[in-house]
Parts: sequence; C-alpha cells; structure tokens
Amino acid sequence: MTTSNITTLYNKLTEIFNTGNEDAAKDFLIEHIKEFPEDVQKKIMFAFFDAALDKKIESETQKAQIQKEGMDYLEKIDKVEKTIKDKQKVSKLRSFLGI
Amino acid sequence: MSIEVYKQEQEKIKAEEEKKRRQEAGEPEEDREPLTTEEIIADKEKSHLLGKMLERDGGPESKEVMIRLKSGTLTEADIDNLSKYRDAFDKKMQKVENVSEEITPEMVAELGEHDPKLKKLLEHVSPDKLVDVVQDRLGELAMSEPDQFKIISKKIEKMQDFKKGDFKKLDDSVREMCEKENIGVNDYMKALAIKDPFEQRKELERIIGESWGDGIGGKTKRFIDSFLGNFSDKKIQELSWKKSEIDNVFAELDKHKKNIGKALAVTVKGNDDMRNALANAILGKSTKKEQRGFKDAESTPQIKESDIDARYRQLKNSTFPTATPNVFRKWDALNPAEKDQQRDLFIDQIKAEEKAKRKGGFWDSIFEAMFGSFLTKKRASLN
Repeated sequence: MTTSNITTLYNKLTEIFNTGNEDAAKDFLIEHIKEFPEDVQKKIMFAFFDAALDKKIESETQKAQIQKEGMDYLEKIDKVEKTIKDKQKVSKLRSFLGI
Repeated sequence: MSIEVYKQEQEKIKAEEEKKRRQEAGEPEEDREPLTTEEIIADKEKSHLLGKMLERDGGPESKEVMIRLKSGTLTEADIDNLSKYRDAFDKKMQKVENVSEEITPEMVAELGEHDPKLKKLLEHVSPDKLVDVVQDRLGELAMSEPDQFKIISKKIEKMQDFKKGDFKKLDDSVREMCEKENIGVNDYMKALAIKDPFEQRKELERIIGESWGDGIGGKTKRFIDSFLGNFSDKKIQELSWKKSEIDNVFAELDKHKKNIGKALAVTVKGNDDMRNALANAILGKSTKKEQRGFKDAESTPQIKESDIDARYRQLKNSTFPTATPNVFRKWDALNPAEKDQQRDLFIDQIKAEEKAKRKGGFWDSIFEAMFGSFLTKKRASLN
C-alpha cells in the first residue's frame, strides 16, 4: 500500500496485529478512529457494535438458562416438600388412628 | 397530463392495489405508504441506497443509470427503468426502518455495559453518532449484502425478545419469586460498597462465581442434585417421620431454596451491577469461539501494492478485443472511456478477490474496509 494516511494506519495496525495482541489492536482502532477515512470509520464502529451485540446475546441467553435451571430446581424442591408434607399427614393420621 | 403526474398516479394505483392484496392475503399492514420512485430519487440517502441495490441486483445497463443517478441527470427512460426496482427497494427499506427503530442511544449504551471495548469507543464517539452509523450501515447491508442484513436483523430482534418476549416472561417470574420469598441481593451489598470499580467487579464476579460455580453447572447445582437424589419417592417412604428428622429435612430444603433464590436474584433486571458482573463471569468462562477470529484474519495474506502495480502493468501490456472478430487493440488504442472501464474492472476484480478471502468476523470486516478504502484511492491514481 502507498504512504497515504490509510496506509500508515493500516501499517501501524498490522504491526500491532502481528504481535498477537488483539486487545492492543482493538485499542488502536478506537484511539485512532477519527483518523480513518469516514467510510472505514463507519465500518469499524459497526464491527464494534456487532461484536458487542454478540456478547450481549450470549450473556443474556446464558443468564436465561441459569434462570430456567434455577426455577426448575425450585420446582423440584417444592415437589419434594409437598410429597413429604402429604406423607407426614398420612403418618399423623395413621398414628392418630393407631394403625 | 404531464408524464410526471401520470407516473405518480400510476404509482398511487399500484400502491392501492398492493394494499388491497395485503388485506386479502391477511398480511400485516405496511407501516407507511410505499415510496414512489420520485421520492426515492429526490432523497440523497435513499438514492444512494438504491444505487447500492442496483450494483448488486441491477442488470448490465444499471451501471450507466447509476452514474446518471449520482450526477442527477436521469432520463425519462432511466426513471422507467428504476421503477422496476421500486417495489423491491421499498420492501427492503421498510425492513431497514423497522430494524433501525430498535437502535437507540440507550441500546448502544446498554451494550457498552457488557463490552468494555464498545464502552471505550463510546468515549470517542457519541451514542447518537454510533446510532446514526449503525442505521446507515444497516441500509447499505440490506441493499448490497442481504444475507448479512438478515443475520444482524435477527440479532437485533433477539435483543427485543430479551425485553418483550419469553426471556422477559422468565425474568418476570424470577423477580416475582424473589419478591414473594423476600429474597434480595443483600449478600452482595458488601461487594457493591467497594469503591474501586475494578475491585468491585472482581469481588462480584468472585461471589457470583461461588453461587453458580463454573458458569451454569456450579457447586450449588451439584449440591442440590445430590441432596434431591436423597429424596426420591422411595427414600421419602423410608423416612422415620420423627418430627425432628422432618424438621431437619425442611430446614435443609429451605436453605437450598434460599441459595438458589439468591443466585437468581442476581439475574433479575434492576440489579444491573450484578447482572453485568454475572455476564462477565459467564463470558469469561465462555467456550464459544468466534467463527472467524483474530488468528484467522492474521493468517489471511494481504495483497501488496507492488503486486497490484505489477498486475496493472500486465493489464496495460495486454490486448483488447474490437468489434471485428480476432482483431485486437493495444492499450494505447483504447479511448479514455474504455481505459476507465478497464481500470474499473481491474479494481473490481481485486476487490472481489479480497472479499472472497474474507469470511466474516470482526477482523475480516476491519481489513476489508481498510483495503476497500485503499483501493478507492488506488483507483483514482491509476493512469
């Protein structure tokens, strides 16, 4: 690529990119966002938005999974409690009747 | 009657017919009156999007029409030609408008709470600006990359589902249960009192992690599984039914109910700090991998400018067909418009090669955007 602004930015980004530090590469994009041509700026912003959307969906889905499992467990406990209470009543009745 | 008035009348009739057809087919009403070709052409943003749609879906003649559309020199025949695409364009625009409505400054700020990088970006770009950018990009995707548009639309719909659909119902029932059982988040208050946000988040993630262990399948869950295992119908039959024994069982069951309740209280809307900490704990342990991640993009070879220059020299040294079969011309024999056409084709070819290498994902989209911008500049410098 030529020494235009986009190329300078591109070269700096790939330099960081090649160190394998993704976090630093993303920080570079954010900190230099306004230096990119407008069309590239828009696509960078959209990529961050899309990535955040993925994270939110994953965490919400898993949170719902936790809620579902938790509620299922509460239901199971309620069921056990009810069964014990019923048996307790029968046991009391039997003992009252001397059976 | 002028031809413009006639065309407007025709479009109105067509819109009425479409409305009637929808009613008869039991399809939902459109949110607004369909756009007329004139309205599309007169609106800078919409005509830009129409151009994008033509680039993808238009016939070979549409390139010339696009040039005239951009320069505002459309002919009557062009308007007729564009009218063929009006319905399809309008349908796409309706979808874009529906999805765009969901993108608000509040929504992007909420996303930022779950994603430190987006949060950081929002320190450099206002939420309003990000909303505008996302909405514009949605329009472009709908016209030129409909598959991508479909994917992102589904994600945005899902966000709505969290607020209104089954996810909301589940969240409401958990909240009701917590209120009914008087279960709060008091245990976490100590952590919330920590002033340093980093330390607070760390502590919250630690105690939430303790409640649910390794993500979903945690310590509490395993403990309850094992406890409930002791209370199968058979085991219940075998209970001695002494009051002390039964009281102990109820006390134990109650303890577990409270444990689950406390863990669930964290997930309820309103306890946002804890919800965020939980989200981070979940994501930190997430095993889900990006389809195309950092390493994939890293290993995709980049086209160098020297390669492009070499290929352009090769193009200029090749021969080009004429109207006469088997008769070819050299580059210098082409007229300026023909040379421009060859340059456009050349750049389009490189763009297509780059696009084919990029399979999606964060980094692919970044590199594709940067390379696209570079190619636009390169095209202007070719002579």
